[in-house]
Amino acid sequence: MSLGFSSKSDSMSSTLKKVLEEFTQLNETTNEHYAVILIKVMINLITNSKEMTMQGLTHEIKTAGEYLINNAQAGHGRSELVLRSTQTIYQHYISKGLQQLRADSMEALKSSLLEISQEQIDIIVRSKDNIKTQCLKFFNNRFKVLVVGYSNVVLYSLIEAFKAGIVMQIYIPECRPKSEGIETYRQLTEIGYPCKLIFDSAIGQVIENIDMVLTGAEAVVENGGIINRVGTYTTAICARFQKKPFYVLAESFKFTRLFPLSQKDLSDSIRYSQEEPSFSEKLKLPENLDLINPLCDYTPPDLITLLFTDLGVFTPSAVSEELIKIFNT
Amino acid sequence: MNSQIAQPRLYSSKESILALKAHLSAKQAKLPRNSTIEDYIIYIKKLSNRLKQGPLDFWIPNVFRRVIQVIRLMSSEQGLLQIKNKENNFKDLAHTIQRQSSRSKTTVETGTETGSNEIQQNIILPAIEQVLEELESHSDDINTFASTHFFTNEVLLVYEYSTTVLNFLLSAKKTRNFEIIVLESETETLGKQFATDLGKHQLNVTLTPFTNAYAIMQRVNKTLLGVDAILKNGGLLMHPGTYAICVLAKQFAVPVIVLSGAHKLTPKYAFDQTTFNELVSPLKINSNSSVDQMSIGITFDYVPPEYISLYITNQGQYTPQSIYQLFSDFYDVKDEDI
Repeated sequence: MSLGFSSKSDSMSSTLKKVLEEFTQLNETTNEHYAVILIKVMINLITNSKEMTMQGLTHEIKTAGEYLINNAQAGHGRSELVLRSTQTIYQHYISKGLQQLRADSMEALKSSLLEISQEQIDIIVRSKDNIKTQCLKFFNNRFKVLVVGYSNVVLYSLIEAFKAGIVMQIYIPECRPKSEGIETYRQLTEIGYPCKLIFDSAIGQVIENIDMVLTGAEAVVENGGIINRVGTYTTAICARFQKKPFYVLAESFKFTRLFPLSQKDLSDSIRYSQEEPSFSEKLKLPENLDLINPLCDYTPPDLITLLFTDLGVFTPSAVSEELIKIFNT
Repeated sequence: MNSQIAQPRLYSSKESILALKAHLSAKQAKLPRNSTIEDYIIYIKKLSNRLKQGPLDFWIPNVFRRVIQVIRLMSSEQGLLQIKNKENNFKDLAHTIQRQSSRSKTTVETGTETGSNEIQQNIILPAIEQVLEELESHSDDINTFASTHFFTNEVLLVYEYSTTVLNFLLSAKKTRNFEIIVLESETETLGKQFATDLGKHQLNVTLTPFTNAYAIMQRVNKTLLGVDAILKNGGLLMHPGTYAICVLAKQFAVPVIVLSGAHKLTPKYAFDQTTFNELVSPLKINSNSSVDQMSIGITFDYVPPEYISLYITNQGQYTPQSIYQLFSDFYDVKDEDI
């Protein structure tokens, strides 16, 4: 008996290790979004699963998902929020599919689940395009835009706008400690955008000249606020004070069921970054440096003007209703 | 004053709907015999583009959007509408799952054999009638909602001419007394007209020039305003000069209440004064203007939603944070680009 159990848990842990390996490999070799990679890994898991019951399959998906979220060394120092929200939505639709299907065999069940998974991938892949279409209506020539952080969606929309002939003056803060603003700067100047790099501390001084602030999001929370790279909250406060519009571009799979009320309500993995920040060698750092280095911060909904998602353009108060629609259809 | 000209927006909305009705009845539409609902919707969108009087005409597209939405609602009730275009989001997933679960049952495909004439009779014409009725009765509904917000002996501030506000004040007068202050802008006589019309019905009216707004705002209990368009973020396009009044009202913590029919709901966004605006002829501002004088006049003031306390429409009462709900009920997202 005990042998049976341990072999089951052994096979479970080997499955988990395989899943993690696959995730890391896909992450390094392909250029796809984490959410897409997660679902592809799940597809392979379902295809290769030896489970014979619905419950077993659901349990396997759930455990694998949790394992991935906690252990995937997501590059660029991203938090686990994107993976977590995608996994929640994915599991929701899988269990809904399992509830409503009346399949005769495990194979039929699996193929229906694979169909659902593939469609989710299609939705995720198309979401960037949908956001770009809506964004283009808000961009105008000779606008001055402040772009916070490095976001694939924001870059895509800006580059497509450039190809459509809309040229805007872009101000990019460096975004310490990871300095990802420099990557944004590089990608935009490569195609010919007029960009200016500024230090994070200069945001307050620059913001009175700009026309709008653009940013992505790691997660969109239930009250319409966002969790994004540290520094977003500060920029949002400055923008609000100077009455500049603050736009967030986020795909719908980033909607999570969190409801933070303040910065304290974020989980520890978000408030304390795992990575060592880099300082210039010219600085003479003291021996025991007591550093507070959060990864992300929470921007409340009253600082956000509009959220651009693939479900439409919303004011923050409309987001919670959309979230309910995703989970309750 | 001819009431139709006093309400130019309502007038143009009504006339365009009546034109649509006439086109369909007189079979001028030249629609093929077995047109589906989608064909009708495309035809209505084309008609809206033809009738539209310029980029700042919101009211004709609004009312056509409403007709299309009512058509969709009615046809989904009767099971006729089929979802052809994928929306590319999670709502599709729900359909896929439903489709899969009903694979073992036989799915009933309806609607393809219904003739064009039947569709017209059962759906299109009743939809048009419903929208016309909404337009006709919007004043009564607004008056019902609004009467709960005003008390006896309040001092209300109004600006220039608004027929919606006029109708409301006349109906509220029957149950309570209040004092009305009418602000007039120096370039038009609409303020005087409004004060005269109110005075004819024995209301307690004071007419003041616009420059006195700061001085009297301290004595005002509520501000009542009419609009030209309500935008999707809650912003408003209003008569020039209203923005200054809203800023003043905010400073003195005077609630600003906006009365409007739902035909003015426009599903567009604007964030500055220039997005939806145009310059008007200087002669309209100053009829004595000469060549070396520059008179700048604009069509609308854009007022951000932060300055408004409440929107009262014939479809209900909303705060700026919740007005988006009305848009999602009233129109469909697909029709926003008409």
